[in-house]
Amino acid sequence: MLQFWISGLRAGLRGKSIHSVLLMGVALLFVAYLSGSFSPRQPRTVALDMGLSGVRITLVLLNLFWIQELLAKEIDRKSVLFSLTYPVSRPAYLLGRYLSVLTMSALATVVFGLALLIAVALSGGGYQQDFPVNLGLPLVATLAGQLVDVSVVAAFALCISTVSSVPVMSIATGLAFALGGKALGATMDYLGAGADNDQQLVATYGPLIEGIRWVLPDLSRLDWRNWPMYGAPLQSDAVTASLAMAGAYALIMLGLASWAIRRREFS
Amino acid sequence: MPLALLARCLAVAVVLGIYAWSLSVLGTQRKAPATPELLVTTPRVVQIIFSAGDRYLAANLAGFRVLVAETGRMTPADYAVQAKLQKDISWLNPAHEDNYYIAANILPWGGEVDASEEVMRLAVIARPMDFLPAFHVGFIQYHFRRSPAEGAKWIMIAAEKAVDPADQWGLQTIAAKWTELGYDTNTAAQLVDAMAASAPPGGFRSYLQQRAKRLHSLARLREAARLFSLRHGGAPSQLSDLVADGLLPEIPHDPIGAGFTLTPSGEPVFKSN
Repeated sequence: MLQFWISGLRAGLRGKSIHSVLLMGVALLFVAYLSGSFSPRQPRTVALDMGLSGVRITLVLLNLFWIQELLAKEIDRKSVLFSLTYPVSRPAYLLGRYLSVLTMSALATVVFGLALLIAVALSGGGYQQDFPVNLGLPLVATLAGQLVDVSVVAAFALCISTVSSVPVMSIATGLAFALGGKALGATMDYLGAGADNDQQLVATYGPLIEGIRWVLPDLSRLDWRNWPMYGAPLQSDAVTASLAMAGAYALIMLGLASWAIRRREFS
Repeated sequence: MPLALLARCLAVAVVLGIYAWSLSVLGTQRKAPATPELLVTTPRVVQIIFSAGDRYLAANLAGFRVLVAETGRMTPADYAVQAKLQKDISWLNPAHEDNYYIAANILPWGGEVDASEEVMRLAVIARPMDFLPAFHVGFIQYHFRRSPAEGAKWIMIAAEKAVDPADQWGLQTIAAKWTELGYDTNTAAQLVDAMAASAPPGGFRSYLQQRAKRLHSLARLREAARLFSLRHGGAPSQLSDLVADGLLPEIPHDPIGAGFTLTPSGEPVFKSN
């Protein structure tokens, strides 16, 4: 498994598409820095808010491209067969690749977190906000939450790669999963509050969303930015449940992926 | 060869001519009013989907639309659209400081009192460390709903949230004054003066200063009308009576152009614009 982890890291840092996404992440953080100047009262909060959104989008794309590069393309080109000639099990190969993606994702989170820190510190000029942002532990916790969030997305994309015959499928479905999972909480809130008094909408989509929430994790629960932005403390039981949800879902996806790859015929 | 050169020069001259013509046309065109910035509002769930599922990003993107709108040229329809946008932002991220600040200082003056109060009440819950949302709910109750007692109740909630003892004392004094004296236009004008003074320099501050100035003018008219009633035992039938009676040198100028009028009972009020 170790050799798959190391080879995964090498391949992951080489891809041209990955470099493009990294550049896009830097551009998004620059946009976050600029967006602070729009705000009359809270330039650093807005820069942090926009920056966290940019980091999440970048991490999702990076994870999906890594899964595509390290697994989907290998399966498509049949080069996976060379890897599987080692005397290790197929699930070990899969897990090694997933750990490579997790490691690179953690590195990217640290790099983007530092860049975000600089962007927020520079935004707003000399203006002193009444309510300053907290760039210490609250920001670290928020970035860690985003890392967990994208790890679930990566596990889902990995699972899709093991059953799909088209490499781009893991990116397409992974994007839909990342968007749906992130939007799920707000959608449930919207329907729960009556959907602007649209009874028909509630009647049509309420039961559907109630069913979806059991198969699609609510990734917005891993967004803890109210802590660094507004000083709203995290509720430990909610955080524990969110982490348990994310961990269990990722394990289910990895389990399904292992089951699928054992039965897959590559020839 | 000279013919080819001539043709090239001609082509360059034509392109430069088109460029110069387009610039001259664009230079004479007036900048589009605020309406296009605010006209379209999409359903909340659509806003979230367009923001990659991120409600905070959706709130910020809608917030930028509100921030770039030119408040000085807004029509009632623009205020209605801005109210919807700001309620959306408040639902997406109720703690958004710029959103509640703008909703407090712009929306109610354009007739969107309910929307402003809704944004403010959500901010009171989402921002337990900030006394300003409760203060603004109090001001809405006091000035726009003419309910000094209810306003004072909210000002006391704001005083409980304030950390600085000077803020606490100031807020308690305001609450006591409202409870004791009831509604007074001059007091409202002084508060709007203070809001303008604390606003960032620029169009937003001048917007509030104009509002404060017309409230001061209204307060002067009402005081003159009160003196007129004492002097003559009846209310004035027109504003010019106050000038004719020497109570005012002239009818005050309304900075936003709507002007003043009298109610049937002879009380000076703003003309609806």
